[in-house]
Parts: sequence; structure tokens; C-alpha cells
Amino acid sequence: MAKLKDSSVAEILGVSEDNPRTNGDIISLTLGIVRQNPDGVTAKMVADATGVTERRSRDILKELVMRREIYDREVPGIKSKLYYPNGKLVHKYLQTSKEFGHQTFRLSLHEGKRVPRLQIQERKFSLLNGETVEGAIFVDSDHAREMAEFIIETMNKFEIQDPGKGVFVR
Amino acid sequence: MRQSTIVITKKVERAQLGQWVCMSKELNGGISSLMPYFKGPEDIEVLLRNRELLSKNQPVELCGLTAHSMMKKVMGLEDLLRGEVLGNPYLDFAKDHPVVMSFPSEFIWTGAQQGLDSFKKELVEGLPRTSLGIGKDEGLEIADTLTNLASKSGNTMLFWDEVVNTKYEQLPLTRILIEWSVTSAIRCRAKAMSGFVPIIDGKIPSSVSSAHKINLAYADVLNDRTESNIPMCFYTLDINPSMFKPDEVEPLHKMVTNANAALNSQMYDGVHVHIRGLQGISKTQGRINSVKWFIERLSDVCNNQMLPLWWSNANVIGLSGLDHGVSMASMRINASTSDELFFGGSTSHDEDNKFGKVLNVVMKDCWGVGQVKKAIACAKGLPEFDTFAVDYDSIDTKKDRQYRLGFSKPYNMAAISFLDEDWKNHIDQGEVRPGESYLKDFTPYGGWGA
Repeated sequence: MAKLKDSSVAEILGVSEDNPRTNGDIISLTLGIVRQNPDGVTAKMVADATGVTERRSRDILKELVMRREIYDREVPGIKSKLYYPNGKLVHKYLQTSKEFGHQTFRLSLHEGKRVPRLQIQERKFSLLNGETVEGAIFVDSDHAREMAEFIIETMNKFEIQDPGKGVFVR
Repeated sequence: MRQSTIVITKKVERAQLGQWVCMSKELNGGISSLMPYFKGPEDIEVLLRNRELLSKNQPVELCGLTAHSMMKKVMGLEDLLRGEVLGNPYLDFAKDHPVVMSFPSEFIWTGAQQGLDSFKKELVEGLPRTSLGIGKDEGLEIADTLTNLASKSGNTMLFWDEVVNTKYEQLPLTRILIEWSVTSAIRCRAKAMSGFVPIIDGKIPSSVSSAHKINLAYADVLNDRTESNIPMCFYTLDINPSMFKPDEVEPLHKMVTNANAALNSQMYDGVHVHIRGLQGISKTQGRINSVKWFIERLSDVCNNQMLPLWWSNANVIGLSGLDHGVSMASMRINASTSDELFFGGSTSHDEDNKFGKVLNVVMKDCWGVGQVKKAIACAKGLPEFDTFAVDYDSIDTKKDRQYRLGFSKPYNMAAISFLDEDWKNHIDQGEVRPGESYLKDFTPYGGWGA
């Protein structure tokens, strides 16, 4: 048995080239597997690839669906759900977050079939659960400005004078 | 990767005044501070009820071994404490005061049951929150394994040698422990954290290398994360008193060399040092000299990189540390003279432990409840501060919790802030070693004085 003093950092962290299961956390690894398989994967396939139980794999996939990182579909003739990737992040730096009071919104640009897609993810920080994803929407990037104008237009209808001070409904 | 720096505005010999800043984390905390250390749920309640007793931007240290219990407490107090504040009072507090979270591992060395119980509780709560995909049942299983290993490990490195070799679904328990502590620090919005590392002991020379290895692993994990709320990483030295022999500094060289190499790697934002058994060390001048030598060498290492040196849980001895180049020194708000984190409190039978001590900055002593009762009888004897007026009639000496919550702990917070400000004022006027000058007749730490 190797003593801690003789162990490498890779051994302490369980990182090895032969064992992708330990190269990073299980949630990132699951996301990576789904992204590498755009034709869809099942929870069992993910479980086999990561070495976790099928139940755990399903829980993690469900969490990723909630985050809108992936989506699921029930395919006729197949008992299990199939999981597909939403578009990959275009670039690491095209991802930014901003806090608005209790809410945090993360904007990120993802690859899409026609044009890149803007993902607006709502996150919430609570002392009970830490940071959690509440949900997300996708907007095709060529409609993102129109979407922003649509929001402003809607807010104007309600006469938002100063978002920092209050909302007056006509 | 290193993110912060210290900006020195005034220096008197080794003592320095200035700021610890990090633009990306909106960090701007005063250095050369004596600051409060908050150990558990009761302490966090005292903090949030009395935050006005802290100086502006004053950093604070929280014990990570009770992180989840503390946050649960905060949740329970949310409505009570909200007042004018929009949102959660703790989150509001953490924006104004840099929080540093530390994970002392002394209970693994001592095998203290209270520490082991708390450790297990925190693991059960915290493991499913990590990004490792650990479920509740699996978390309980891992917590059991870790606690069992810890309970057998007293005075040895057995726990640490076992956890690196014990795997849970191909993941070593060392990795799980690191991820658990990082998750706890993120949950508490800590700006920086020191790791859960093995205690370095004089009788086990390899413990220096073991602690260094875990420190390297922490830097690796924290540097790998890209989220904006990841705490900065301190190189951590958690040391047993056996390392400090009278006027003998040879065993200390390796720790200084390791810390220097670590900071040179630009992976850390400072050094966090915790020395156990300061009360025992204080009885022998030669051992005090060894600690001072060690602190000065670490201060040199940190100053070369313009990074802070943090002396954790140092009691008023921290004032001597500040004279010798420590950037920040913390002190528990029960003014305990013991360095054990998991003894005392409401489960103790000893009255002084149960009620806690009161720091009398004028008498230079830590008063037990008996002395406070005498002061109440003649309505004098306890120094007052601008931020804290003593109302002798309202001090409840019958119920220990009321006494600690309503009087002794808030009073000590005010006393710590007073000493902090007083030390800074003396340095600002160019006085040499004001901390040691103050300590020379402080019971029982006079040996640290000039």
C-alpha cells in the first residue's frame, strides 16, 4: 500500500489516462458522453461508460436535462429514453453571468443547426442548496436582438420607469 | 491560479498596514488585522446579530468543519435577522467582509469524538452537494468509512495513508474529501479557503511531505474549476506543538521550503498556518522563539510574492504575529485559551468552558464567569468600547447559552476589533512591535511580549 507521502497528485485525485471516469467530475463526464453521441444515448449506455449504476446515471441525465444542457425524447419501440446534446458552447468566453437581486442569469452561445443559439439560464443561490439551475430557454441568435426589443417593448407597455426603484402598472 | 495581491501602505520593521485585493472577486480586505474566528452555528448567530461590531471590510474566518450546520442556522434565522436588508443577511454580510474558510484536521489526530461526530454530519450533508454525483445513501456510506478510519487513526498518519488508497467507484477518498471541502467553501461564499490537510507532527517527519502533497492536490482541483465563485487557495500548514522545540529551527526548514516552492508556482493566494498547543508553547521561551523564527520565515516567503500570511486561531498571540509580519491573525470569539476546536461548549461540565471566557483588554486576562459575576456585583471592571456598552444588569450568568449569545461572545468580538484598531493606530504612529509590548504582562501569554 502506497503511503500518502509517496503518492502523486494524480493518485491523490484519482486521475489517469486509462480511466476517463476519474478525469473530471461525473456530471461533466456524462455531458461529454452525450455530446460525443449526437444520435442519442440511453442511461444504460452512460452507466456502462462511466462505471456508475444505471439509476445514478439516469439521475445525472435528468439534472442535465433540467439545466438544458441536453434534451430527452421517448422513441417508439425503445423502452428507455434517448438523450441528445443541445448545441455545444461556441467558445468558453461567450459565457457570462450577472446577478439581479436574488436571481442570476447566465448567457451563453451554443452551436445550433441553422445559426448559433443564445441560452438564457436562470440560476439561484440559496444557503440550503448552493447554486442551482432553475431552468433555461434557447433563442436563435439572429432573433436575440428582436427578443431583447420585445422585452423592452413589453416593459414599456407597463411603464417601467426605473427598474431599480419600482414598477408602476398603468 | 493566483488571483490576489497585498498592497502595503505602511511598514514598521516587519509589521505592515495595507489591503488584500482581488479585482475579479471584488475583494478588498484590510491586512494586519486581528479578526474573529467563527467555529459553529452559535458563533454565526452571534456574528449576524452583531455585525456592526466588525470594522469595515474586516475579513473573518469560518470553520469549514461546521459549514453546513452554520448555513442551516442562518436559514433558520433569516426572517428574524432580515430587518432592512433585502435578501439573505449572511449573503449580504459575505459581500462586505471577505470570508476565509479553513478545515482544521486536529480531531483526526486526537480522535476527539465530538469532532468525529461533527465531521460525519457534515459529510452526510455535503457529499451529495458535490459535483461527483454522490447520492444520499452513498454519501452516508462514504461518511461511515471516513469516520471509521478517522476513529482508528489517533496520533498517526493512518487515516491519510488509508484514504489515498481507499476508493469509492474508482475515486480515491482523498479526492472526495477535497471536493467536499471545496463545495462547503463555495456554499458559504468564501473568498478563499485553506485545505483539509494532515497535521504536521514532530515525531513523523514524513507528515511534512504528506501535507505538501494534499496541498498540491487542492491547488490542482481549484485551478481546474472555471466558475466565478471558486475560492482562492491558501497553502495550508496545520502543525502540532511537537514541531517547536526550544531554540531549534532545523525541523521547520522543510515547511518553509515547501511553502516557498508552492507560492512560486503561482497556484496559491497566500499561506494559512495553524499551530496547535500555543498555551503549552507559551510556557517555554525557547519554543516561543522557534515559533517567532518560523513565522518570520513564512512572512518573508509571502512578502516576496506580495501575498498574505494568515495565522489561524492564534488567540491574542496573533498580535505578536502581526508584529512579525503576519498579515491576518484570527481569534475565536469564546476567547478560549485551548486550541482544541471540538471540546467545551454546552456539553462541557467545566463551568468556565461551558460559559466561555471574556477577553478583558485592560486587565490583560481572559475572565471566567466567576470573575464576571464579581464584576457584576460591583458594576465595574469590564472595559467598555465605542461599539459595546456593558449593561451589568442584563448579563445572564445563570443560563450558559444566553450568557454566550447575549454577552460574552459579542463582547469578545468588540474586544477583538478594539485590539485590532489599537494595534493599527500604534503602527500608524510608527511604534515598533506594539503587539509584543501589549502582551508582555498578558496572562498567560506574557512570554510573547517584548
